[in-house]
Amino acid sequence: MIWNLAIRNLRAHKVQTFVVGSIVFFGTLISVIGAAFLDSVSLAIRKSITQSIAGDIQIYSSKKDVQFSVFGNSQGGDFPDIGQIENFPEVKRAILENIPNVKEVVPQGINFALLNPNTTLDRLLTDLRNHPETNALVQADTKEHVRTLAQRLGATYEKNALGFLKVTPEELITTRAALARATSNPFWDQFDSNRNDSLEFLENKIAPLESNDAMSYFFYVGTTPETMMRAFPLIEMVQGQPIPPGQKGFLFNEFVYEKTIKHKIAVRLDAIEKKLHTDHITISESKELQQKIQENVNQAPEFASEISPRVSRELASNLQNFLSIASGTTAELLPQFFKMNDANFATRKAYFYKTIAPHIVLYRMKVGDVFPLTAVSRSGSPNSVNVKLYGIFRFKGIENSPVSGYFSILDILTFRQLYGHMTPDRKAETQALEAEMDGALSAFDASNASDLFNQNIAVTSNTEGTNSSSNSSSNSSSNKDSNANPRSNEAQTRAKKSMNTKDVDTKNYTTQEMENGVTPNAAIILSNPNKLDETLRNIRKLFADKNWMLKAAPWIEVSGVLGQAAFVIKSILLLFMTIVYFIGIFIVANAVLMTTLQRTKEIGIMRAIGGHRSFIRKLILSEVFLMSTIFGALGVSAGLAIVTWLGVKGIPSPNENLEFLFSGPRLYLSVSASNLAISYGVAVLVCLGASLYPIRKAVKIQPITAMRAD
Amino acid sequence: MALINFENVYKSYRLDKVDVPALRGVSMAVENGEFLAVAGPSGSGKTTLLNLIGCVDVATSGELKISGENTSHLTDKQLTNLRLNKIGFIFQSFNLIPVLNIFDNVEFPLLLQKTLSRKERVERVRHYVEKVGLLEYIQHRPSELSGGQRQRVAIARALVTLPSLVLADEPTANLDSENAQNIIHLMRELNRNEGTTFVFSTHDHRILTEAKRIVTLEDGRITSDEKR
Ligand SMILES: Nc1ncnc2c1ncn2[C@@H]1O[C@H](COP(=O)(O)OP(=O)(O)OP(=O)(O)O)[C@@H](O)[C@H]1O
Ligand SMILES: [Mg+2]
Repeated sequence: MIWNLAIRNLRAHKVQTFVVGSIVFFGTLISVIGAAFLDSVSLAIRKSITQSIAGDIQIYSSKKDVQFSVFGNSQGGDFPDIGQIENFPEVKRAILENIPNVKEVVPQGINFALLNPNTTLDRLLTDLRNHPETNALVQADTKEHVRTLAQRLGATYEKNALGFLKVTPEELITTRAALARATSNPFWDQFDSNRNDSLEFLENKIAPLESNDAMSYFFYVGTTPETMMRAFPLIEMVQGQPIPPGQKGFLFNEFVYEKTIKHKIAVRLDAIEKKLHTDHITISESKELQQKIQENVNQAPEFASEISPRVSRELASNLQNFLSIASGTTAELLPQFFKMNDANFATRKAYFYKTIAPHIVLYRMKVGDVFPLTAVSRSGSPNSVNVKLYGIFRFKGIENSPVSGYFSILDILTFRQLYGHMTPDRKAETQALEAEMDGALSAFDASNASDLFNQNIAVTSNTEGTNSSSNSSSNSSSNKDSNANPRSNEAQTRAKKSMNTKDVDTKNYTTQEMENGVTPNAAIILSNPNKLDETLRNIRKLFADKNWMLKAAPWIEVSGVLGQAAFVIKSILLLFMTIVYFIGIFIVANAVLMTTLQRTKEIGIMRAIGGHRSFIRKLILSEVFLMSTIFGALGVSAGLAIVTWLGVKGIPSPNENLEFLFSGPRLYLSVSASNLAISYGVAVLVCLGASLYPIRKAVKIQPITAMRAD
Repeated sequence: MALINFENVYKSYRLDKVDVPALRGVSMAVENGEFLAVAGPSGSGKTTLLNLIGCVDVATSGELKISGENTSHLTDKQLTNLRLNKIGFIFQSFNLIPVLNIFDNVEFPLLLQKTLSRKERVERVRHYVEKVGLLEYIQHRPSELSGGQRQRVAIARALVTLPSLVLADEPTANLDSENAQNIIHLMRELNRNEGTTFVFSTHDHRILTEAKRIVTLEDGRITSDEKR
């Protein structure tokens, strides 16, 4: 009866029904989509964080009171000393045995690394030293190449020595003499008769003069590589092979490899193409792209010097043909070549990779290479160890995201060598690098932190392309004490020397040896990630029972701002929904009040012939309930339809940095049944809540006043 | 004990800061089973009197007792129960629920009472709709009916709960003489057979001649009270 009357009333008051109905419809629609978005982003963030590095739970020592974040703390890239897990093998065994939901316990140590790869001169001298038997033509070409480079160095040295280098007069004299010797005919005529001395002279006196503006910075996870790769399903090899079990070694993240190991000119060309392709802009309308082109043009002379004289000569005619220019050497033509525009970009880029790139070192490091990895030890001093690059991997789906993209993988033994205890004299010895590293780190910190949601993480924020500084190898912090230069130069030289010797540990280590040692933290992977809280409690209980000074933190607590991103998005959405609902309540309350007042007479009649206040209350509630359930159901269905559609199509990530939050280039929406129910329930409750005020008004209507209201 | 007992009842309405007196000291008693007409010129206070008896309005001063209960001491819920179960009210203006058809309108108080089964309700409703001669309109909406027809629906609705007291404010004002006659006969019959007490206001001589007692109001005062 009440329902019958309610339905008739709704039909009779179509406008109000429509108003309330649309509010409910759009309210539920928005809340379903909002909830789906929130759910999906939360899931995606969780996936990006837990399946790349952090795992579901991180454990680490509770002795130090530091905020640990696997992605570096809020300043970015800063990894405070978090101590170590005492007796990791025992901890691992206890967790795996006692807590059934734990699938893997992966030992980890996260640190910041610096890579100082060979300059062209280094490479040529290494060639000469290691391959004296190569054919005469190549030998001669290499020697000529070294000689031209020495000439180039001489020119820049003269410029800089009088400028910012502030060399002593004695230094100036010896260096000038050395440069003169390295470019003189007699030296080269007698090169082979005294090969060793000649090479040593070049290595010690000339090579250090060359600037190394190719310093790279990145993070790595020291771990037992096979467990790590098994436990983190997003890791996918793209080149080479995983580090063989028991071996020391290194795996580059494709992201950092492509961005910082690849030749800068090529990186810029790649970046331009990507922008042209994804952002659909032209070079002529983008300042950013024009800037990149200009940087390539600026770097062209240096680039030309990397090509051997013989190849340069051969390339010249080819370039002349390609550019339709009658004359000019390669060095003269390259700046013109790199001055690309929208019309010729595609063909020139293809030409670059096909014809020019094979003659230069496109990647300063290749799979199979052994290279010195420099990192900051626990005590804060830099430390270098040779490692073998076994392969390149990526985090599948989030390969374009700088957040995880800067993390490479290192065996935990090497990690310990780099990170572990320092002997006092080793410490003193490496003090030299410290100033440089400090500068590098602070420069990185500043750029990294602010760039998380910015386009480019300026990891190599150095003097790229300008080629003006022969010695400020690390970065752009120009106000740095210039006295640091000679010292850092020494450190560089030492690092290079160690590289040249290529001594790398190829011993096979047992799992026990790998796990027994300094392990700062460990990632725990769960069989059922939904039981995170329960498992976390169990682990904490285990630690307490065993009296271990260990902390177990859920992924969200060890992912710094990223974990909070989910929370921030949630809060914003919640706030938005609250506003939507408040507006909804207001409109619904008014619409219901309007219908109620229009029906004053009718309500008065019902009261006069014996309708109780409760009857009037129930009647209005039924009407509102009917409206909200019917239109709410429509809204939920429409929302579900849209979410399903977006679940198939995906929302494209607006930029690379968001790909981490989207866990891929597109966010695929999905919505849980519970969220549908909640959206529906909230909409109905909001409407019923909104009708309380009109109901209060309605039950106060007296029969007598109603009877007079004609 | 009298069914209705007025004891120096005053009722005034406030209109634009001025008190408009509608009843000025009414005292009278109505016994069970009476068939009483309230007469008087327009504005004399007839509707006001019925509204007070019908518990849709309260006296400004004085005492009004129904079945010995002082209505000013009753809660809203108790008053509503009185209206629902004891009293049938036929208002001067028609007062049907516009979204319900005739059947539903007449059934409405029975549904509020929740005492009858569906079958009993249907029988009862049809019976009274037939008595007021509107069976063929039973599925119609009030808006499709004439003023007189609506008045008859209101009468059927007032009688359908078998109230012990029926109040009717000018029940025949909109009716032609044949229908008026029918209604009066129906009321007389109920009064005789069921002992239902009737209090109605009217100018209509056709009813006045049927009345057992006529109370005349003038300017909110009883000027005559004659039994016949
Ligand atoms: N709600 C009200 N507000 C102000 N004055 C009122 C109100 N109700 C009634 N009155 C006044 O009280 C007096 C009595 O009114 P009442 O309706 O009882 O007269 P009546 O005898 O029923 O007249 P009629 O025969 O025209 O129906 C009149 O002067 C009227 O104007
Ligand atoms: Mg009247």
